Amino acid sequence: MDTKKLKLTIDNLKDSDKSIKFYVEKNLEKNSVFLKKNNIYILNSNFLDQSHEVIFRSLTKIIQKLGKKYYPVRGKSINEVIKGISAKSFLKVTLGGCFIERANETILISKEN
Amino acid sequence: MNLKNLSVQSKKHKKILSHLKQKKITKIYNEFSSSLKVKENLAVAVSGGPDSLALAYLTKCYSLKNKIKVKYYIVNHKLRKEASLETQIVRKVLRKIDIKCTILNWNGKKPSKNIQAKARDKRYFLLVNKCKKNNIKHLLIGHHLNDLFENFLIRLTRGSGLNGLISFSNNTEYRDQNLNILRPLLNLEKIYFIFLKKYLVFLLRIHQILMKIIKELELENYYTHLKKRVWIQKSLN
Repeated sequence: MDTKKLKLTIDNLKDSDKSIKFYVEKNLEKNSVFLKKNNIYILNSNFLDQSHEVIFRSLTKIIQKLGKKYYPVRGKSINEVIKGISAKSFLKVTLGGCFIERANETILISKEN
Repeated sequence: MNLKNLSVQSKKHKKILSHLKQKKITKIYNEFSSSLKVKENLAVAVSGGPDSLALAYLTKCYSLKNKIKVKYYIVNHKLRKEASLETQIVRKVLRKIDIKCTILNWNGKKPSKNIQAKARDKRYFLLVNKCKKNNIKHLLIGHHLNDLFENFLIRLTRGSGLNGLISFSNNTEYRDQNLNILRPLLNLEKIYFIFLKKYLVFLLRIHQILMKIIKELELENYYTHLKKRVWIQKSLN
């Protein structure tokens, strides 16, 4: 095994990760609002208009922050929620100590009581 | 303190730094110091393996050259009977190069399941608390390039995403606790520490004792992570 090539692969992946992080921050900044008073996140319709990885990481970050957990929620559960949100029939779901519900075109995420 | 004592200490320090004249060790030290670049007080987590002992030696040299204070900590998990003896040996070995190492004991009930993860959490908890008490903002850990490869390959077989595959980096903030975890050996391969181990006799002695214990653990068929490590190390070689 060529360890130099393996290191190069990991460095390239790190670069890709940095660019994804940049778009995740942008997505959170532009397409979500945090209401401190109510401790609630409001996501607009453009939030889901991104690549899957960006939506996945943005949603994971929000749930982790609101749920006050050190470890993020399982990827499988996040994928299921993304699938559900994209479907028209989606109404509400709980995940990682958070309550996720649809209100017209927006998604509301609040801490579960 | 009288003059005689000062002179003894100075001689000791000169002896420690004299190893840096060796070409290969100079290369290792230069790589180490260029990735560290911190001029504040530091803490070093020592386990007793060749990597962390090399880290302790390099940090000692760095502290002497840059005139900074460094605290050295070793965690005694007390999960095995030999653990207390091992930590004492490591402390004695480090004393030979003028390093005072503090032993942090994990007292209380031990878990029966998920031992590795819980031991890691407890280890970091003890280290972070000690750093906070001493107002230290940087904790040095002996992860190296082979650890990065190992982690990458383990996660590749587990179906990790991009975030998981890149695993650890040179500098990570620990759980929003105002403490930086630094890995200054991350650009160096294990072969360098094996060389350093051979060059500095004190490393060789401690390594032999620890390797025996690790082999016993593997025979017990207990830690799956250790087994994976052996498989990956074989395939990397």
